[in-house]
Amino acid sequence: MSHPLRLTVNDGEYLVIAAAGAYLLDVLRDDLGLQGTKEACAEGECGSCTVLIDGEPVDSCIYFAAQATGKRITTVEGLGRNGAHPVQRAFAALGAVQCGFCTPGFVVAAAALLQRSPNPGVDEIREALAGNLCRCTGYNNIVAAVLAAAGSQDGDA
Amino acid sequence: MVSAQAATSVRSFVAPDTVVGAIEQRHRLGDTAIYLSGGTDLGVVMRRHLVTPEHLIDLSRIDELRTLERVDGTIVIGSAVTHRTIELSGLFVGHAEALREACATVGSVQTRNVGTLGGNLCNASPAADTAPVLLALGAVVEIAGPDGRRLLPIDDFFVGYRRTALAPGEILTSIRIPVPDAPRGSAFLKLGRRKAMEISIASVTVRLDLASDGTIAAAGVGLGSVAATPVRSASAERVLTGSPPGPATWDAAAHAAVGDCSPIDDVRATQEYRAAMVPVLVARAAGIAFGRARSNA
Ligand SMILES: Cc1cc2nc3c(=O)[nH]c(=O)nc-3n(C[C@H](O)[C@H](O)[C@H](O)COP(=O)(O)OP(=O)(O)OC[C@H]3O[C@@H](n4cnc5c(N)ncnc54)[C@H](O)[C@@H]3O)c2cc1C
Ligand code: FES
Ligand code: FES
Repeated sequence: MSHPLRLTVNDGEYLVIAAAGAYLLDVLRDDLGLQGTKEACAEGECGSCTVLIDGEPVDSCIYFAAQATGKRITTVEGLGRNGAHPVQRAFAALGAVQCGFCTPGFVVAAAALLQRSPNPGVDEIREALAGNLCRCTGYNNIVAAVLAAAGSQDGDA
Repeated sequence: MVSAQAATSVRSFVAPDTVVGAIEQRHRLGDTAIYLSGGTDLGVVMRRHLVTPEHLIDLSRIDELRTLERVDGTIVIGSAVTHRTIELSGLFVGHAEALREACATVGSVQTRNVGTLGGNLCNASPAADTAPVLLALGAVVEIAGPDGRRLLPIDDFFVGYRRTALAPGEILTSIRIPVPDAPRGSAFLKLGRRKAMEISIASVTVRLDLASDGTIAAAGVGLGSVAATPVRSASAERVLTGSPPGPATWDAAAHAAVGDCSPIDDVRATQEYRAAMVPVLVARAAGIAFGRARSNA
């Protein structure tokens, strides 16, 4: 059965008519057309579907859309609104992207990390990204990109 | 194929703001309703259509269930407090380090931002990381139902494989950890095949309270993934209690603990491997717990 949901996504207010058991991932992709958020495992293991809920990373594939009402949802589209986010620029510059399917999830999780910890060490980065899987890059370039993004934010400040 | 689709069994989603309100909803909606805390267990099994509720009752908007505080000699944790909140809280240092450690190993940051302590216990997996910790710490749980509230030692909460003492419609409201005056130290160790995102092959928690003469006044030993339920090792606790701290005592406790396990073979490890690892982990955890108890003195 469908019911109306009021969601705040990337600072915009949306009224969505969704199934009562709809997952946030599906509402974002299918109802709001925000297809930067990806589905891979659909069971909380891979982080492709990571979005921010009140600034904190969450796997949207196992999170019901109704759980998000009254909270701020940020997708990868919301991070890159004022030109590419420093994390996105660093990913592109340092070859942290190959097929790119995992990239939005990594970017969102890494952006949240830098928000709470502007100068993370390698272990802290690995820990913060442990819930994101990448089949292509071998992770080293991803970690390097997050380190570089942290450095570039310093420069901006 | 788990392709993107809503949980089609669900006809309504309600988010009451009080415990009484949630219990009333559950009564009104009947047995096809299920409580939802973070959904990191429920969301997964519903994706696979293994659980098909018609109504979801979200407990995570109930303020009472989200409070984490110290009330005199007790740390009171609302059932909907997330693993991440516990991981980042300073409340456990010197009193219940093992719980902070266990919560910090649950899944990924994404999992911990949503998954809750109450959900971990109510889901009642033998591998639930926080369950043996709370056994070792002698926690008490508070349960609310249509007839009011009751307190239950956590030892009586896990009644069988994936079964708890909750009657239909009852809500786990809080978890209470007593904090003693005596110096206490605790440690949680989890054996997995990789560093992060791992369901345990075995986990061990040891809690030690020191007497003024330096001996062990009281001890708690909890074991995960070694039986159908999380278990407490009464044999290891007996060995530790009243003994002088040190490697000989840790080894004796470690060997006693094996007798309290009945591990199984599964995809993660064999029975033999689990039985061999338990004493190693118990001895190691006891040493760490003792070091902490001394520095907490
Ligand atoms: C990728 C991934 C990794 C994971 N890794 C780990 C791990 O390392 N260690 C580990 O222990 N677990 C792990 N889990 C399992 C899960 O995250 C935890 O068990 C979590 O604590 C569940 O809490 P929740 O709030 O999400 O529970 P929910 O899914 O909301 O609920 C779980 C069950 O408990 C019931 N319930 C919840 N709250 C209450 C209440 N207050 N009263 C009555 N019934 C209630 C629900 O009806 C449901 O049956 C992992 C899960 C995922 C997806
Ligand atoms: S698609 Fe959500 S974690 Fe994999
Ligand atoms: S770049 Fe292909 S999965 Fe990560």
